[in-house]
Amino acid sequence: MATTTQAPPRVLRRPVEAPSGLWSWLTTVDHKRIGVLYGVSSFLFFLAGGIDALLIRLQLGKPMNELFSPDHYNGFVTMHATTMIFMALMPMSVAFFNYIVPLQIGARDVAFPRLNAFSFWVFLLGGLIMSSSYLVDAIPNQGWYGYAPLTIREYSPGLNVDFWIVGLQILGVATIAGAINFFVTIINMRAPGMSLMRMPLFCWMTLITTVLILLAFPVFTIALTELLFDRHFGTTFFDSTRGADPLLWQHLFWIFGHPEVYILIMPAFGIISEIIPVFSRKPLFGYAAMVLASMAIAFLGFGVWAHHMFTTGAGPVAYTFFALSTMLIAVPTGVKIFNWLGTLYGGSINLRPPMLFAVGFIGTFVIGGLSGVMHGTVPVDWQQSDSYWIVAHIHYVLFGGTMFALFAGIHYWWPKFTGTMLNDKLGQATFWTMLVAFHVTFFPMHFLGTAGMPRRMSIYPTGTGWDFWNLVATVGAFALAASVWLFVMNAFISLRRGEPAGNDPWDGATLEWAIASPPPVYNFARIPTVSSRDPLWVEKRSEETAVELGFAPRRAVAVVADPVEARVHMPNPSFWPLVAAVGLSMIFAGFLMPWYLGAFPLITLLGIPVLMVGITSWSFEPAG
Amino acid sequence: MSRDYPGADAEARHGSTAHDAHAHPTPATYIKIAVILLIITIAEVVVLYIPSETEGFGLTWFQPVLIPAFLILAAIKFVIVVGYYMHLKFDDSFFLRVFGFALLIALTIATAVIALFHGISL
Amino acid sequence: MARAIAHDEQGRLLPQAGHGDSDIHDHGHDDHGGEHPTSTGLNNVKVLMWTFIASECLLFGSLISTYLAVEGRTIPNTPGPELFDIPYTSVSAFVLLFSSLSMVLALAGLQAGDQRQLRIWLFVTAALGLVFLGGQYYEFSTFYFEEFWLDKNFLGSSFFLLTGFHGAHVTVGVIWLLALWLYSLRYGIAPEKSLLVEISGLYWHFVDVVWIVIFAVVYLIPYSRIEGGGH
Ligand SMILES: [Cu+2]
Repeated sequence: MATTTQAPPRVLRRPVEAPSGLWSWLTTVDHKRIGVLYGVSSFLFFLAGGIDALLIRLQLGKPMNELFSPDHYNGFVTMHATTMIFMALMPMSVAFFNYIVPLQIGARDVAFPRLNAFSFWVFLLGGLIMSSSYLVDAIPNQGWYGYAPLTIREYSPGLNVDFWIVGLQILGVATIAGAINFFVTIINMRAPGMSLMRMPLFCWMTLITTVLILLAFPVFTIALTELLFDRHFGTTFFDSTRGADPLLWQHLFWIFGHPEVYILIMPAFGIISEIIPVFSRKPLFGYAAMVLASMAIAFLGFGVWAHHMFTTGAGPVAYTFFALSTMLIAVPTGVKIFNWLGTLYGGSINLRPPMLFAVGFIGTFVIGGLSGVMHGTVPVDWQQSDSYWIVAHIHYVLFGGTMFALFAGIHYWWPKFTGTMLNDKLGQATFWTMLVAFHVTFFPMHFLGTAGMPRRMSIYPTGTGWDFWNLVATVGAFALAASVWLFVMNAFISLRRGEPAGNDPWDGATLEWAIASPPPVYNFARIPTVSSRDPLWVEKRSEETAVELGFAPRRAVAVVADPVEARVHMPNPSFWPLVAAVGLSMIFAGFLMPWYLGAFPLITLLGIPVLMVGITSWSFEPAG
Repeated sequence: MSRDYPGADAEARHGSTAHDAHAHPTPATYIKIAVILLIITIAEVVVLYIPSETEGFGLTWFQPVLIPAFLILAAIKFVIVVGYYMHLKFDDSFFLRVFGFALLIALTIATAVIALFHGISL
Repeated sequence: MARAIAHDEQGRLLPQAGHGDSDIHDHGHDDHGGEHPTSTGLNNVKVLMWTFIASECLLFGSLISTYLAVEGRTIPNTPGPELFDIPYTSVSAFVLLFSSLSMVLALAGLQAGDQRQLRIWLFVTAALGLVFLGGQYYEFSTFYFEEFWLDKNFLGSSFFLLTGFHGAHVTVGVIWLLALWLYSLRYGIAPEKSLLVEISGLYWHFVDVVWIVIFAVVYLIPYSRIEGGGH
């Protein structure tokens, strides 16, 4: 510890040239590399969850199908949802937080680079532990909502539920640690002049998402801990035979679960709010209204959870309250939709692939939002609850909403990530295939739900009238897979021989387009000074005006400068976040192993010192 | 700290004043606060034993207000520790807003859950 | 030490070292001693700590809600709140309150530049934390022998999970304080590094505040209902 050593001021600790090799990735604390790690691993989990989906659709393609056992089918359903929500969509949003937020606020890195690395490794280990359930044929099969008392040991004796609890606990730690980091980053690491109300909307949505995570995830952590204790230490939280109330699980789960929906959709809102102005060539309509509406959605989102429990008999007062609050949320959501439409209105619209996905998002998300308001109505919900209608709704908001927005974001920022363009034609093909396939897959589920098909059945009899639309949905699902495959091809082609993108291929408005693609390790050779919203547009336009008038243009955003001369200071790489992440994962994974020391799992006890060594070494090594 | 960039005014509300805010109470104040906390804690325990021990003295009316009394006394202790020992009263208001918002959400949800389980209709 | 803030020729701020990792420890840098040039002027680690504490409110909120939601629904012939030893617990509660006092005294000592005060009060705080944990161990083992345990009924489950979670937080706090204490013995902590102590203090006081709530809501209220019903 180093009050003694007098290092020369502001030396370059992290080399300006990015190092390469496996070790450099294992020890990286660079937000861009961590963003890439998050992006790639979440996309792989997305493919895994997609394979689950295809297996589900294969099973449901025809009546009386005995392709998979009900047990395995339940496993695919549970893992499809769990993988997509916790291991694909959320971390893919976090990939964008990592890569884009520091660039957009004009920072060199996040507030706590090593904590950031820790979050990633914990996420990856949690995802791998969850997925390893396939290897030992103990796939979680109780549904992603894990309703008690089905999950207690008596009714789910295998390791299946334990894999689910352990995996989600580890993923939860990663999420909370990441959220704290991005909260501090956005509050404290903004470039001079970047006041909160000048921030790009994507950063605003990230900030609101982190608040939602910090308030919602602890509730889930407790619910899972109670379940873990029920299964391993004989507590009676969810065992109604011993004085408990299984509804407790539903309350805790949905107090977390509904904000979770906004955790999944807010980053999507942010991405869309970046893309629509750039491809309409005009500033976002109603910036302040957008920010306030998002805050309202986030706040109200904590007061609606019981709309998932309208069939549990909570009584008329609770029903009325939760139905009204649910419908109230549609108002700020509508404000956002109209702001996007207001931005499009009168703009010179440029329908490149990112914009196609963004516009597609608005359409499908509105459908999903409307079907949501419909089952926010209590009597309607009694009809639709547990039917395929719900499956249709959730996919309209999470695939048609979040996933479309994430694809929009991938197409938009790909040139920044890689320095090369994606092929436009292939991008168009991806979008149109995905849009059509999406509606072919999920729109029929509205019909199936209305025709009474329950959402959790692995096999259905002939003569129900459900055959045709199920077959259509199955065909659509494979077409969706084809559209994803088109994107993967496009990505590989771009990496191999894509056109060079240059700094600013879309005439962007925000700071990330001011610097090279991909950005140098230190991002900005000189921290920019911001004096407006859409800072880069303001600069480019005033530069053009200056040239027209014969003045020498002057840029506040330094694009090229010698980083050594600017005395850039970057944090050191570190191995300890990975060690701490392994220790933390061991603490939870111990509950999956057969070795015990007294009442305590052995691996858990071994994990504690590993975690402590990681944290201690982390605290005492020079950060850079 | 120098904040001579455009838009600094917007944020000067935090920032430059944060350092001056470290006008902490003195150790003597801290000790006084501890004495107050001790007295409240004793009061809580005494209040608990009043109704049962003093039935003969006509103090049974105290039973219904017992729960609100505990909650109020705990709230007072809570506010004192957070305000003085955690310096929230003297520190930048940003911390108060972060903590207060989370506390508001936690209290609201907890109240709603408890009300739902005990069949108290709102 | 002089904190030079560099400007370029147009008077704009040059890049500052603080925009890297804002760990609270010194990194061997000339300008890390003071405040980092953050957007709000607030220290990153302090914002992190308060954010973490805010998040913890929901963690303990859920545990307390669990306890209170099903409170009063004990199944017949299983142990309940009548086992609580209120005078004993109130001593524990005051031990924790007094540890909060010694914690602020440690910080005040450090800020006044008095290393001796800092070391004494840090040690007293950690020791009081250990006394509290010892008390909790004794309480738990008494309950265990009186057949009140986490697998007996819902009350036991939620009581032991809640107080155990709190105890785990105290344990982490004690380890943290002891580490700080050893560090201050070996190297001393400079007054401008008082943030090191302030952050651990925030955590410690929060753990104390949680106990204030637990004492009222988990011990006093259920016990008073037994008393009231019994007489
Ligand atoms: Cu909901």
